[in-house]
Formats: sequence, structure tokens, C-alpha cells
Amino acid sequence: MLDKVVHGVQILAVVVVAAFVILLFVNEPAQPAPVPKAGTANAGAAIYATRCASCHGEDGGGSFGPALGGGVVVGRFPDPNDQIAVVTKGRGSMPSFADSLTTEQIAAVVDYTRNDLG
Amino acid sequence: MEAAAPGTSNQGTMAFLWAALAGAAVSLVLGVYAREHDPAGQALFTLGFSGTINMKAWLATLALTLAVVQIVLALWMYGKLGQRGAPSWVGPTHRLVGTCALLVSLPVVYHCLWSLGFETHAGSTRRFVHSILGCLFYGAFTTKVLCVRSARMPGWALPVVGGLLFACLVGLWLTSSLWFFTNVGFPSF
Repeated sequence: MLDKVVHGVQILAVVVVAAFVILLFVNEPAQPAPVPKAGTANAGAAIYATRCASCHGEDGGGSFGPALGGGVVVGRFPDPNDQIAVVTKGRGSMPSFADSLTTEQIAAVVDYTRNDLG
Repeated sequence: MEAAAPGTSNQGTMAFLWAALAGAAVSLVLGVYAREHDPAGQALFTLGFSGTINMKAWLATLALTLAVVQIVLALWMYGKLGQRGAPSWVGPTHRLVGTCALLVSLPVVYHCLWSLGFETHAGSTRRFVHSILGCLFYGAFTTKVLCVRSARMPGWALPVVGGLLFACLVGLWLTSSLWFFTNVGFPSF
């Protein structure tokens, strides 16, 4: 009896592994919209929407990542340079944006989260 | 016709080398996928937890707990826990617990591969080590399964690969769940 249970669970494991492998290749995320250049109108908001909102929430209320809006991020990072460093280098589960955003774009999105978000 | 005694033939060593090679290939494929795939950077399912990262931290903890149970059952099977032999249910239970540990780990690794990718950025040692161990873990798992399935393996193969697998899992837990529990909070469901 126990052997049958083990065999059944092993078959289930094979099926689930196969399903996850297929999903890895089929479930491609939609490419985010191009990042606007820093200095253009609403650049910070546009960058936030395309690069940050999926984890921190569209309104900055948090999701996979912590909440940022409503002054939360200012409380955690009184010095904006500390927040810029986190966006640039990544921290915890947050990836580094050093390769995908310029210094000016990072500064723009940081400014947006500190002054206009939530 | 007598079967060759484990660990006494070149066939056994060759069989182990093939199993190790297959495991290395799995590790390599995972690493290449994680490095080359454009990380989605998105949350996935939460399976009832308050967030994806909470789910991952607790599922990894459950996987580690199951692995500890599996180690104890393995020691029992090998007669390391006393004079009396292990009851007949210990072997199947050992396999069942191991399979469950694999199943529990799958949502975790899926999110790691699909959403986060392989960390190579300088200055993030924890995530770099975690990425390496993650790839190594599933390679070691592949090798262990092949060792179990082959009758030609040397006697030392299974304990060595099993030990490596467990060490990888401990390392993965230390660089993820423990970090989460100490930095985000415990218990944080």
C-alpha cells in the first residue's frame, strides 16, 4: 500500500516538474514599455510604472516588495542617496537596476517615489 | 550470474561518473537559463501566504524540515540509529518524504528562475552564493536519483551525493529563509 502511494507521488512529481519546466519557457513576461529619458515630463512616474509597480504596487502600497508610497520610503531612507544605492545595487529580493537604468533615470524614479507616489 | 559487488568494479565508478555528469548538466542548464532569461521581476502565486517571498521562505523551511526527516530515515535504514534493523516502512517513507521535499521546492525555484534570475552583481554575495547553491542542488538531486536507480553504483556514492544534496539545501535555507526571518520578521506568513 505504502509503495503504491510512493509510486503515485513520484509520478505526480515528474508531471509537476515537467509542467514547471514548460512554464519556464512558455510563460514569458510581457516586455516592459521603453523607459523614457530622464528629464522628460513624468519620467519618474513612467519608470516607476514599467519597472517598479509590479513588485511595489501601482500606488506604491506594496505587493511582492514593500510599500513605498505615502512617505514610507522617506522614513526608511532619510538620505535619498541611500535609496539610490538600493535601486542601483539591489537588496534582498530586489534586483539591481544598474544595467537597465541610467543614473539619471534612477534619480528620477527615486525622486518620484519620495515626492509624488501615494 | 552474480551481480558485481558495489564499489569493486570500474563499471561502478563509470556509472557514478555518468550520473555526476548528468547532474552537472542539469546544474548548467539551470544556471544558463537563470542568467540568460530576462527576469520578469514580478510576483506570482502566493498559495495562501501574504506574499510571494513569505511563501518562498516557508516552503524552503518545510523542504529543509522534510530533508532532516529523510536523513534520519536514511540513518535508520543504514543501521546507524541502533542495533535493530529498520522496519519495512522506513524505505518507502524515506522516498516519499524526499519526493515531497522536491515538490515543495518547485514553486520556490520557479519564482527564483523566472522572476529573479541568476545574481552576478558584485556586492551581493548572499544572492550570488544562493544562485550557485540553487543550481547545484538540482544537479545533486538528479545525481542522487540516478544513484538510487542504478545497481552498479559504488557503496560510497549514495551517502556522498545525499550529503552534498543536504548541504546544498542547508546553504540555500541559510541564504534565503534565514535572511528573511531575521530581516523581515519571524514568523511572517
